[in-house]
Amino acid sequence: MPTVLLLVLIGLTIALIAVFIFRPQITQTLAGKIAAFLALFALPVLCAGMGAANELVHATSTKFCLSCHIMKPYGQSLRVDDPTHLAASHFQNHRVPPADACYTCHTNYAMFGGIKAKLGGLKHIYVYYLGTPPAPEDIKLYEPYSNRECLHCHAGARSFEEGAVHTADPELLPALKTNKVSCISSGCHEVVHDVKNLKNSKFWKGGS
Amino acid sequence: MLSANAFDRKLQISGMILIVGLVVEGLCLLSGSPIGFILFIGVGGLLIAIGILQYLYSLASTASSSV
Repeated sequence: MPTVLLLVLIGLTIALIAVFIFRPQITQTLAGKIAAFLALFALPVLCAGMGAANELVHATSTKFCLSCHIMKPYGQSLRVDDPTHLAASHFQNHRVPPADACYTCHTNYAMFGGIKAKLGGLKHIYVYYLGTPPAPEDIKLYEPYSNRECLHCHAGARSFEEGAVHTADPELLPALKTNKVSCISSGCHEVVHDVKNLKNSKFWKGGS
Repeated sequence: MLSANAFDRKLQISGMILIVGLVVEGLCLLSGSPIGFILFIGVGGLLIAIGILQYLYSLASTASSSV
């Protein structure tokens, strides 16, 4: 539901509740009791539920992730004009939805992965506002990046399954699929967010 | 402003808590920031839960006193 409609619903609910604050005697009639149930129970539950769903969807957006100052260099790294930069090439070529770029790669595609990602996000917010946030270039993932997240899209794709480098060694593809060799290991797709060297990078001006 | 009638008074209090909770949620929806997300869940959600529980309590206490 668009945020504007949700705000209208919240406004209407507040107006209805206000009627019961100023004229509580309305509840003496059956119709008043039903209206009170709607105003003081059903509508607030609806507003809170739909608002929470709206907030959770919004929390997956690239704009939301980059709204913290510490994430700014990571946002810039998506615009580096170099196809060997993994995050930049995914973002610029729409291999991930640009509006949800961070979440698409950094969520967890296992069972309850979405919940785990949200809990991780809460931890980020805690560290950002109440802890000591590290410098952007010192930020580390909580766990090593799993190939599972890459294979969520790339498994079965011709470019992955039949790629010259991937098939050169017959043991490589099984090792990638079982996460024994990391996709982002040295010599492969090792440059992801090179925030340390952004000063020396050229940036893509396209997109919106 | 608060009614002399106990049930009405409880209803008014629950309404006021709910309005504060809904205003907080509305402002958080407008902010769109991570801290807004936390306030939406932690403050707005909590106030709405308290307001609803207060309303249900007012219903239950009135029902038990009329038995």
